[in-house]
Amino acid sequence: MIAFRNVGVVFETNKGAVHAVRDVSFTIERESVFGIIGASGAGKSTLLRTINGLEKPTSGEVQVDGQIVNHLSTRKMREHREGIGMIFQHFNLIVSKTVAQNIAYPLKIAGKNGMLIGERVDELLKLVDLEDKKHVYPAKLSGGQKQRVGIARALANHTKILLCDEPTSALDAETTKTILQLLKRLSQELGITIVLITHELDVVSSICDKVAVMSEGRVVETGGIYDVFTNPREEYTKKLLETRYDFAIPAEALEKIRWTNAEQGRHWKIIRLDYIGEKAYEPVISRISKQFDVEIDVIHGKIEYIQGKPAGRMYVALSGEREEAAKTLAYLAGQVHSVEILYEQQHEQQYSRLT
Amino acid sequence: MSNRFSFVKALRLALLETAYMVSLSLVISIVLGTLLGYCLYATSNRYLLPNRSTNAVLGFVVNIIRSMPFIILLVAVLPLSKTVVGTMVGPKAIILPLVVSSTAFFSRLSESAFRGVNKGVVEYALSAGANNVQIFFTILLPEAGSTLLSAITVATVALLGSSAMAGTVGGGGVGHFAISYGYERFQTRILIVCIAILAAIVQVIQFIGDWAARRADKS
Repeated sequence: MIAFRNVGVVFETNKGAVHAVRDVSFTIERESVFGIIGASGAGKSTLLRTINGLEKPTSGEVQVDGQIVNHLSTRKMREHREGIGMIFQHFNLIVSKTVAQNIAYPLKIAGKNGMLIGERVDELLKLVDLEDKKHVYPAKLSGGQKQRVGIARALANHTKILLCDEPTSALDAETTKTILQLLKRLSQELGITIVLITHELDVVSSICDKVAVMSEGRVVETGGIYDVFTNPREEYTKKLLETRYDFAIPAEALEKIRWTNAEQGRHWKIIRLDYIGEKAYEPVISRISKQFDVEIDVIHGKIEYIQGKPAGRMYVALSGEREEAAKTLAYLAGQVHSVEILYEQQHEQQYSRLT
Repeated sequence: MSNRFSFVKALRLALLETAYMVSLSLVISIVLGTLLGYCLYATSNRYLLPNRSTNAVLGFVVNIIRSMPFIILLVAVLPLSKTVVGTMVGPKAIILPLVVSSTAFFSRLSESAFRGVNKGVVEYALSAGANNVQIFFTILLPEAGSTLLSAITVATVALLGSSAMAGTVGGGGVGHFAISYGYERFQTRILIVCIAILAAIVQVIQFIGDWAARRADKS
């Protein structure tokens, strides 16, 4: 278990003191995948580095498995670090050493026996599926392969904690997926605790169990990933998460909806539906078109799965008789997490809000 | 005939003296210069041995030595040779000023080579539990290897130049040979021969240095 108790980190710079981390308290359970999100400069990196002592808290304490990390002696700190792996955004492989030598590095400096090192390196190469790159230098590897070497190297010492500093931010979407799957698999198979910092919301929602949201050095919200993502409490989290559904409906599309309905003399509105949890499985749209005399048309939307549970947002155009539309809305309100009317025929001034 | 024979013999002796001065002071100054370069680097690195005042003092001393033209450094340091190596004349005595000058030069070269090493890799090594000694030998030296080899090439050529200057205060070597025959006795042909020899040596040093640096570069 990793516990932060009122942790603060202050840097003395030429321009005065910079509070990188302010009064942070939360715990990370063993064998969980914990994400820390926030904008760049929020203090995520600094907080992460207090776990392996690369940054020293100026106040409060950091505990890892009952041991206070703040003031370990040089020797104790080395032992502590040997038990914690770390991977980086830019991989930080040793370019003058081959893949095998990179993976062997933490074992070598820990003074492990040469033959054991050889065996362990082969084991790790297999684990990250890089057996054919054993004697290749990092310069010849792709980004994804480099990160896999980074992961193998970080786990070499049978580490139980893996710190990930923006592990996929330098990778393309496809490679990001494979690296995240690998991390997820390793956390389950090896029972390691993963602490991951990122500014990419998708990364957190796809592999983390729990999340802490950081802003300006503070942790503003922590909780289960699904809860935080579908029901954020803090304003900052809401704003941050809103970027996922940052949809703009093209003016041409709205214009078309307006004209076709105007021609047929029908009442119409555009609604935003938010889906959460079990209700997201319900075939709401098809039921509406069966039960009510209205037309419903999906114009934009996104459903994502967080820990296997759906969550999402949809924009629909609803048109028909005024009364039927009202009944439909009432029905919808009971079926989805929230319904919001964004634009109605009568309120032309709201028109601009969607474009 | 015997004149030519003695010329060849004297030239060979001069070359040997140069080789002795350059190689010995090169080895000593590379070792000392790399260590000093590491100190300059590590004292300014917040993860290694951060110490602003030590860094400032070391940097100041190195700058003082580097700001002196070698000929001045030579006459300033030579008296110290008497106590260190027991004599003030000959190739042996010249080694001390050569080492002092070359160490200061090489410390700056190696410092910048270490600065060229990806900071993230140093951070990684620390995160894996490496201590400062391990970081020096297993990260900084290999990662800066190619740049250091280029720096050694530059330092060797510079030393060759300094050793020639040292000839004027009784150091011997090719420089002394060229000046006493080619300049003081107006034997232009000997001067030309010396120039050709020095040019050839520099070409060979540069060729070997470039080759080694290329080989060490894995990026």
